Amino acid sequence: MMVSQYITGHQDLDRTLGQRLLSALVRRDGGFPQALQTVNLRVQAGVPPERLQSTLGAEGDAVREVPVQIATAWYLGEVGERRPQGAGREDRAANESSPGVEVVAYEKALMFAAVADVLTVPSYCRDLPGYWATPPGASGT
Amino acid sequence: MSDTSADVVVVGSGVAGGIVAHELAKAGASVLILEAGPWLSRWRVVERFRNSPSKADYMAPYLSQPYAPHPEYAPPNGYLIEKGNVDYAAQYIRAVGGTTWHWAAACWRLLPSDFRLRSLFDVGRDWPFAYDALESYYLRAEADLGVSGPDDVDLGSPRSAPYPMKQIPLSWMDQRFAEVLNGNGFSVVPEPVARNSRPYDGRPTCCGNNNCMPICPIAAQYSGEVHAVKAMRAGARLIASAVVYRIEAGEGGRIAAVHYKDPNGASSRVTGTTFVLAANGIETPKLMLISADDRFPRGIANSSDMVGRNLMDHPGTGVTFLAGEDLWPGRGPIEMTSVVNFRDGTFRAEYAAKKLHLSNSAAVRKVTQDILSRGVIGPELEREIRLRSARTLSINSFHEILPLPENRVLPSSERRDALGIPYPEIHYDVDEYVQRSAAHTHETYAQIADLMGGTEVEFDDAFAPNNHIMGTTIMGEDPVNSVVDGDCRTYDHDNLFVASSSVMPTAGSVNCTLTIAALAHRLADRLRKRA
Repeated sequence: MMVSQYITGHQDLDRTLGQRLLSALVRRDGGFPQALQTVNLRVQAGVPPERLQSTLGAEGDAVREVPVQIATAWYLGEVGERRPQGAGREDRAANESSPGVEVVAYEKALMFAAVADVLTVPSYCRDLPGYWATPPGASGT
Repeated sequence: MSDTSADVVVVGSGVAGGIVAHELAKAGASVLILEAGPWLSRWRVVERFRNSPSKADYMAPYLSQPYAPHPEYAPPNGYLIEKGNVDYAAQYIRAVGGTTWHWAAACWRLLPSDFRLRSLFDVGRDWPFAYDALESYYLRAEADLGVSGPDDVDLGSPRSAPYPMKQIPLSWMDQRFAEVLNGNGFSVVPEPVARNSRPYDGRPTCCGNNNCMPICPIAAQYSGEVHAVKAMRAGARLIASAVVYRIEAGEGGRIAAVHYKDPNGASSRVTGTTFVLAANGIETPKLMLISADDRFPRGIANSSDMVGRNLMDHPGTGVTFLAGEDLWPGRGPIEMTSVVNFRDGTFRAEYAAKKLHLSNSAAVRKVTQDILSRGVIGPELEREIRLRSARTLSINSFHEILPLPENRVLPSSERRDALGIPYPEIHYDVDEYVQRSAAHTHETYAQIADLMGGTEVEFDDAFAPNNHIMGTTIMGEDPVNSVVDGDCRTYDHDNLFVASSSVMPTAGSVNCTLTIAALAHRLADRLRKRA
């Protein structure tokens, strides 16, 4: 959880969700705990988050992928390899094929938290009908 | 099951079959609806969506049944066997209510000129009747589906009465988009939609769940099960998971019965006085073709050899770019405005009409995937998610394709489903009439992106399917080259009718569902008068 807090910058992460994400990551790759331990040592050593990946350059793939795997798990709520998508065509038969992806979270995925002041989580209602006609907030903070 | 019988037997329970069945049941006829797929419950579809790893695939929450398969794309199940140069890759749902379980709910009328393409531009075909003959049925269809639309904007299709509901307020993004483009020679209008701007027909007001595709969680958006259920309340019977596999012609070519299988393969015969095929533009012609017998060796209603031919869609191209200001797609329903100034004009003699539409689907998930795939984490990740969610605009298009006999649906000779029924095989290509228009669309996209302060402009010029399956039981005045007449009656069988976009002789450049519903009302009127 400490590594997750460090990578996401969120101090109030849901512990139950964190355990489920970790279980999914371990199910997918039995070597994950060991790779995570290596990353944890860097975190303990006080490497700033934005420099974490570059300091892992000398490590093996399994270790170097850990920060993005953890960020992906929290932000998308998903664990596993996703094939790249084409351009953002919403109304074509999806070019997104991802049978190996495990969905652990949806509405609690951090990508939605990042925009929660403006956008609903699709399939949920956030406000009175017609709220969308008013000017939204700015993207910058 | 022993033999069953009804005055009117309807094959398919989507918007077309549901409306015909409802109207005739109200008029006192005994009506039986045979639906190949199962009943769906909305909450289950919502849960499947939330748990799906393939959220951009609108078919993912709708399970294909072994006994009544439909196309799936994540991963592909290969149900549509593509043999043409361009993949047709249509989405449709075999279930009670049909494909309007997921749709943008755009309820456009065709333009008067769309009915006279051959007369006006010397391309394509004419309809056997004019726009005016369909106007009153468009009105009824709008009341049935519950359409919210703009009464103060001329959409080019004359109206004899206002929309049933006032327009849904445009999102801030759509307001800005319209403001910028309309100040620069474009015509951006609010889209009429089967989505409630107030409580209507026992369904609630749209509250902007931004999930119209693949599923509106609250039924503020119309779906075809509404009329399947209304038909039942009016006395119609509906048998789900009843896959019709044979149309049986009797004396004088009149249709005597249809045969269906249940999921275990047990067969039943259903007799009737009038038969209405409403099983969409792929399954309907497939059924007619696999029903060939000694007297009708080309298949039912196919003396013209046109069954399955003239397959149309609205081939689409797209563009995505980062706008110069924060507009935040994702607030409100997923589509609200369209660019309509290319829907008509003398250019139609040379290249295809088209409609462009701005997506209001939230970009959050897509942009987050992209940013993570670049390895960005930490505070920069959240900054980018916000910036790109606020500014990623996506525009898509519908180009009008002409009815060409070589674009067609056939029953596959290679693959069959669990009940032994052939898969559909598709032969499809997009000709120069569309390609010339798409080249112009590309330039138009560049101009729009520029007007919106766009950067990172990404064009998607490959033709994408838009699931508007038209033309495969084409309507016309000449039985030599048409499957049904102006009343949607098959030329070859006095008591066999088709309720579907498959009768449409031209595609226009707008979503076809409202026209399907209007044609269904018109057909129901004709059948009431026969009874």
